[in-house]
Amino acid sequence: MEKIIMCIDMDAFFASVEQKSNPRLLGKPVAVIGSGSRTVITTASYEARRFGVKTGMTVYEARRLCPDLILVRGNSEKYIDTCRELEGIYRDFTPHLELYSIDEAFLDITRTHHLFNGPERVAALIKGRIMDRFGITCTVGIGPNLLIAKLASDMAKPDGMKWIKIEDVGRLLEELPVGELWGIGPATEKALNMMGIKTCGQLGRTPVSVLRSRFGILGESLKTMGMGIWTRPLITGEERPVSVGHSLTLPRDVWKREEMESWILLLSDKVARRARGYGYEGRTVSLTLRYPDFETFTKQKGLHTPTNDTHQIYRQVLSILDSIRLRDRVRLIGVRLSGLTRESNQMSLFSGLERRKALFKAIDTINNRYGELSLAWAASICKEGPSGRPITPSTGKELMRPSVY
Amino acid sequence: MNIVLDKNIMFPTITKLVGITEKKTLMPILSNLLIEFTPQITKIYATDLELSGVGRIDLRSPKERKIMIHGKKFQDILKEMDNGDIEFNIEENILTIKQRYSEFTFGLQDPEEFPEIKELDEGEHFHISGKIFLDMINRVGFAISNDETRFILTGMFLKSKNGKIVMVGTDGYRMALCEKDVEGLKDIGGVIIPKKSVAEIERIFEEEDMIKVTIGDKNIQFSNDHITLISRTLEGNYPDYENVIPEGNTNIAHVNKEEFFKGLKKVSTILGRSEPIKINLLKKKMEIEAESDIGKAKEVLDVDYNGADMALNFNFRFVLDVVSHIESNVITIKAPTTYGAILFEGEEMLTYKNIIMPIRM
Repeated sequence: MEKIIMCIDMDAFFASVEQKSNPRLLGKPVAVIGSGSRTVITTASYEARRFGVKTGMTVYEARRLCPDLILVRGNSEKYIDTCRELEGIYRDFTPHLELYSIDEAFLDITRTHHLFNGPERVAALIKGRIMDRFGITCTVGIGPNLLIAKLASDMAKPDGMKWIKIEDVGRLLEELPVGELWGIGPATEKALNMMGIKTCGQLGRTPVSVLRSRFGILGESLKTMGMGIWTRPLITGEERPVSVGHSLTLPRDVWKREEMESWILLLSDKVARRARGYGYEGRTVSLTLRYPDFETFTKQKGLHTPTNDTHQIYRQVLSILDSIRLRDRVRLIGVRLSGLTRESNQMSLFSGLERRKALFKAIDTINNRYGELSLAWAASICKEGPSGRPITPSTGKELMRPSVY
Repeated sequence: MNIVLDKNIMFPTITKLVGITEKKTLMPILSNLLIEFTPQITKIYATDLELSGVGRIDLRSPKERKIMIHGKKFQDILKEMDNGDIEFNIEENILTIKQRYSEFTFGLQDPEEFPEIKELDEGEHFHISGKIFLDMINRVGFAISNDETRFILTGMFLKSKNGKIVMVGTDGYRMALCEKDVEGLKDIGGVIIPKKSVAEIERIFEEEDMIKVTIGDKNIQFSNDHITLISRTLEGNYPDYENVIPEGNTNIAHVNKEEFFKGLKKVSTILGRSEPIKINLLKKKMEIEAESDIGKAKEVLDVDYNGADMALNFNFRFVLDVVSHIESNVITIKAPTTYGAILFEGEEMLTYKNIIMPIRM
């Protein structure tokens, strides 16, 4: 059976949500920025895009293009809530869906669209429900696979709907520049152009051996992408997560060990809390660091027994940090827990660990009810904490070395 | 200075000491051995700052001289040499190693850069036969934690009291405890020996050795006539292990060790990484069960059991470790009437207790 995949892409999602929640922003150029002090534009409203404001620009660049730009600090909780509700809407149309990012989702409606009188009607119903509920628009692309569905939605933006049927794929791709395809970034596009491959049609006709010799195993995917038949199965949420991780661009580049420790504790806590929320423990911890020149690297270390204990993860990350000779200040820190297995109910010999588990449970319950960081580790709070409040600097060394068995 | 010696006088000691040298590159100097030639004796030093070793070989040199040489490379060279005499020539900062048609030449680094290693000359000490000491280490070593985040459990606990030597290893979920009466023992408060040092003791000493154990302020030393190991001890409070040994476990089963071991191995073949093993104690019967995403397995053993029916879940590795370390034909399992620690014992000459906490279902 021919697959029918739908790509739903929210139009200027963060900006739309902000405009909707503050009507004074409606119809005005709005840009959503991150919470740090040297943040970039995460989303620009369509009004702002008309001035050339794009995702990833610094505030300075954006203001130069659009002096009246209204900046709004992003509120990720709000977007996540909206995203959750959107998922609920999608689930009314198919159980096979992948939330690809906070503002993009793929739905496999192959087996369900006939219940609603066809794919276009499904698209219209979803658009209608999102508009009714949130007052924001989205674009729906429909195609025989993820790649084409995504292409269709890119072509129909904003507030559009486009269905590329399988028989039209070849004609459409013939003249399409390769850079327009999802998954072909500027570097790959440049490399392809150097080889004389400018359009998807050309890419699809290039012998796979030629592509393989230049791009390795990616070569094969590239050819199928050019032919418009590249696909992968949807990653539906039912499978268990492979890893949980968080990273953060720091408000300013950090050199001092104590400051790094304090951010690492904050990230370890977020990671551990998420793992606890899923009911998973992990046996590999990794630390990602980025220097101001954007060189980024990751180092990992295994644990003897899987854990989701904030301090075990934190201590492990510190021991990774100990093994690194830093050559510069650090711009971004990331912590990840992988090798996840279901939380074990292994009982402990000594009461310390059991009490710790109970403690984390209590902390999680409080933070789930009253919001993240309602209760935080003193040592994770530093002057420029994520909430921006001026808080006591970290001195909590002792806290970090709990004698727990 | 010229020195000639038989390969087999030096090679075994070098091999033992190279194991201590630091292989990671954080402090390159620690990958070296320091060799100290004197007119009386030749001493060889190795250290990773936590654990140090001093080897003594019966080799008299015309003059006093210290050299520092890369441990692993030096070992490799000696290993490839034929049996028989090897000639060392040290001039200024150049070492030449010769044997018949082979010749190796090295520039030498300043030996004064090598960290100082202090042997413990005094302090509380006792002697113990290598056979007993190594056997005890083997009985508890497997249970020591590898988890650096639970620092204090990454060491083996050692103490002596009332003529008894006590060793304990635990990772917080299971614990192995071994006690043995030793003549001429003095009371020693507890020390915690890092896991790596424990492994090196097992590698370096032999059953025939009489081991002298000296307890210092922040370290502990083990020595025989040829070699001395000095290990840092871990600072902190070891958990109250005596308190967690269950006293009133009344559901008692006697199991044939061989059958138990085989049953565990069979059933475990279908286990993945994290599934538990289930042990059901029934009248005169024990069932070992496992279930994973590939299937189920079950083994039934005849056992001597008259207690209440029980179903216990364990980490498979923990049970297998215990069963393979008990040296007795019959293993006694003592389970409590409610959820709690389960005790495993054999019928042995020494006191050997293993405790495993179950997995809650």
